[in-house]
Amino acid sequence: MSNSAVQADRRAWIRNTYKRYSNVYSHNSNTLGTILVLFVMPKPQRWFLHCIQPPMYAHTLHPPRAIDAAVLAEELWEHRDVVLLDTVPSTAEEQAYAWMTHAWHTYGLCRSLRWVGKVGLDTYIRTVQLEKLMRSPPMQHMVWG
Amino acid sequence: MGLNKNILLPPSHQHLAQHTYWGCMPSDAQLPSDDRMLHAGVAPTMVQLLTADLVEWLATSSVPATSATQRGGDCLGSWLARGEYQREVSYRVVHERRFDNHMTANETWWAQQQASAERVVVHSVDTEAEFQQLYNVFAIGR
Repeated sequence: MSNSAVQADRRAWIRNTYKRYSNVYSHNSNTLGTILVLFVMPKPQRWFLHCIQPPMYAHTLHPPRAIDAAVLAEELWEHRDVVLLDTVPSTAEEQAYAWMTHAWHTYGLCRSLRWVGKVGLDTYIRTVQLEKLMRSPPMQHMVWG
Repeated sequence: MGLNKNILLPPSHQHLAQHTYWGCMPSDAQLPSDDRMLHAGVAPTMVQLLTADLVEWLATSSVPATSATQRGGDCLGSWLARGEYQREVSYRVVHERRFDNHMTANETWWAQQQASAERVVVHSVDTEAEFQQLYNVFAIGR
């Protein structure tokens, strides 16, 4: 999934909902699971971390909220389910490409790796049903979505 | 991808929600606490999944990430399917779409852009049984 650092509330909702399903790995509960759900985001800009409103948003009605670096660091440490990418993808395709590339270089040697996916923060995944579905199609040369 | 978020199923189609595998979190309502809440909506193409071999191909090929910025190319599957970057990969693309005329029109546009459309399968899937039927077509075609 691809999102920005300011959406901590969304991440919290997901951690409290479908990340608790029995087949989802959980660092906090030592649940192994078969699905690893990670939050992928670009590394926050410096002005973001220091809660400085960037000049380009000074006159907008809904400027992006800044975040506190300490709060983000605490979230990363507590849940260990956030991936920070060096790149700052601007389009959906670039986000997908950055994540897929990272996923392969990080988990590509894992022999049990079958599928890599990407969803938005506003998607609620019924992980048990999804896993059941994804055991049916061919495990090679397959794109779903 | 984002075009068909927050589609509300009419009451006459609520029964189809039980066949969906993912749902859409309502942006202005309470988040679902269990699966039953998902009956409020579906999000047909919000999940993109690739098999590991295609992920490897993406990660190790020199395809520029900005190659698919045209409208209609916002799905990674269509990006993979683009003729200019197509490799010797006999991949399958399955689109699950329903209740969305805009995406249907977009799909038509998308299909017309393919350099070798015969190697791409675009199909709407409404139920798991239909998916299985489609999978059988795949298996026969291989």
